[in-house]
Amino acid sequence: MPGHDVLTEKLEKRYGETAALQPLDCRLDAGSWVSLVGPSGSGKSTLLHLIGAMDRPSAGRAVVAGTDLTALDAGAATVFRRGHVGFVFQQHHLVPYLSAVENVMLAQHFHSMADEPEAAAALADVGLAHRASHLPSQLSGGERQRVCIARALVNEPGLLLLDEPTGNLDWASALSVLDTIARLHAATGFTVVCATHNPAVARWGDRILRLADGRLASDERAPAERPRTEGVSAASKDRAS
Amino acid sequence: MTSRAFFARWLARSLRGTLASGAVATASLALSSALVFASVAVSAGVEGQLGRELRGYGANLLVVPRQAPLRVGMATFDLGVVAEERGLATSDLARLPAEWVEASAPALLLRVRVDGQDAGAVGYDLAALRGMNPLWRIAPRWPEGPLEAVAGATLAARLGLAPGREATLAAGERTARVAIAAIVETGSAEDEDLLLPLSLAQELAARPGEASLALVRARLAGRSADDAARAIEAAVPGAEVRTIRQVAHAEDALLGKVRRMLALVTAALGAATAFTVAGTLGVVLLGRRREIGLCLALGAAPGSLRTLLLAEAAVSGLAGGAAGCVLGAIASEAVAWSVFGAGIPLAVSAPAAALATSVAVALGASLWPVHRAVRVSPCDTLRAQ
Repeated sequence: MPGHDVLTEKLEKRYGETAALQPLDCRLDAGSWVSLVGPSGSGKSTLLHLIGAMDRPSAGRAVVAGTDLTALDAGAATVFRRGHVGFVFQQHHLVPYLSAVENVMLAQHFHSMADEPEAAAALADVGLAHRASHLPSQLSGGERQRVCIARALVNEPGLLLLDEPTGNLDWASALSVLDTIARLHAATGFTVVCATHNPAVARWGDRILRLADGRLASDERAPAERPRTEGVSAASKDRAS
Repeated sequence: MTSRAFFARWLARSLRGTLASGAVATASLALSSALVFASVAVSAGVEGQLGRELRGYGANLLVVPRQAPLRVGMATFDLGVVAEERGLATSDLARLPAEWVEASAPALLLRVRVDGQDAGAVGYDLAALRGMNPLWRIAPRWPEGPLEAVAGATLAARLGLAPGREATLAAGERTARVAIAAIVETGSAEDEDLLLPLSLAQELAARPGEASLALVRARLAGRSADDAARAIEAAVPGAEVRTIRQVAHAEDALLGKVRRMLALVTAALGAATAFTVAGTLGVVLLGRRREIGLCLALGAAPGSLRTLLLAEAAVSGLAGGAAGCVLGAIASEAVAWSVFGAGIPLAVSAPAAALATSVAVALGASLWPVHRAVRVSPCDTLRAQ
């Protein structure tokens, strides 16, 4: 599926008196890789949840692939999410009693119908064909996160949302995960929105949105020379510097 | 792979993965279903057991000739009206339907003079009478010979009869000399009578092969005494069967009370178990919030998660129920042996009730915790991690 474009208009989220996200206007192009950066509590995850149809805004609207998410009720939001959005979370959430391939099949099951060979192929795409039958507890952190990527992409979503995808990984594993995402992104063209507080991870995007206190503080193009274009070793150097 | 096939695989994995955390709920279900099993089994078996216990209270039916006009009494009961002139053939009484009749004792009523004093006498098949009235206080022994008699305590006191003494009986022109084998004290009409062997009574009354009535202990076990009466009337020509209401009703009342008590105890335990299971499941589901939130985030419909969690509860209910059947079978046997001194036959309704109750309690107790669990906000759940 080609990437989805994302539009927010005065998008706002409040929890009582606390503004998690101040009115935000932005447009994310289809097929782009956008990094959301900022310290904890800056509104990165809130924005991801809103454009991923996981949460409803207090005001404003979010439009993804032409669909106004604010107009969807809970059931329609669920249907939209399973059809259009892939999530990868910081804590590589997997169902602990299902094997790697079954975790991928779970997303297929919610979407339409579980297909084990296809799920196994998705795992192979992230380099985990040999770990398909392993339980999450038998996988390393990096492997678990790659299972999450396979699960997020198995239904070919137009929008991939990454919430601190490398936050719990050592740098080598992080690079492997980012490299996997970059390879698949280049191959299929889905839109990536990646929330991170790590500048090195942010530089994998085409564009960097900086949030502070729930506001958009800056919107800049990523440096022309990005770690992913130079491969893992370059990224390692980047982090070392 | 079909959705149903994957769902079954997911359910199997889920059950295996949550085995430890769900063990307390399953154990609670096993205990409650064991109690239901034992309760139903004992309730079903108690009919037979109480029937055996109630044999001690004697006959529950009285067979008399139809339209007999003489009032008689047996034990503490008004046994109705019979006629000396019209009797029942003992050969007919031997054909009482075994399906309904556990024991019977033909009796012949007559008036005699005992050492010159007027007295009531009843001729019995004394062996049958003894079997039917095991609770009678009789001393020192039941008669063994054809010329031995038992004197009722009141009659013995009035006539000065005592075990070992002989007495002369006269009925019209016929006389016989009997030895008093024992004194019986029943606290009822028999205390006024002289109990003779049936053959001797028939000889004195000149009514060979006849009986005035027959005491019958019917096998009721939950069946109607009136049905038993009709079956006996059909088998014995010219007979009318009367229910000895006190005994029959005592059985019904006692069985009813026992059943009600067991039902109440079972219901109370079922309710207590439901609360325990609901509480345990609430805790278990709290521990699975992350998994539930994740599935919702991935696009699971709350309904499909609800189905999974309720299916898990149903399987736990079945597992608990099956374990409960084993425990219940052991418990009911233990209860039967300790209370009645005998085992009880396994009622088919016991495992069915135990399994049904276990599944119903598991599902009922799960509804609210599951309903709450699938209403979590996925982003709140995942953010909370």
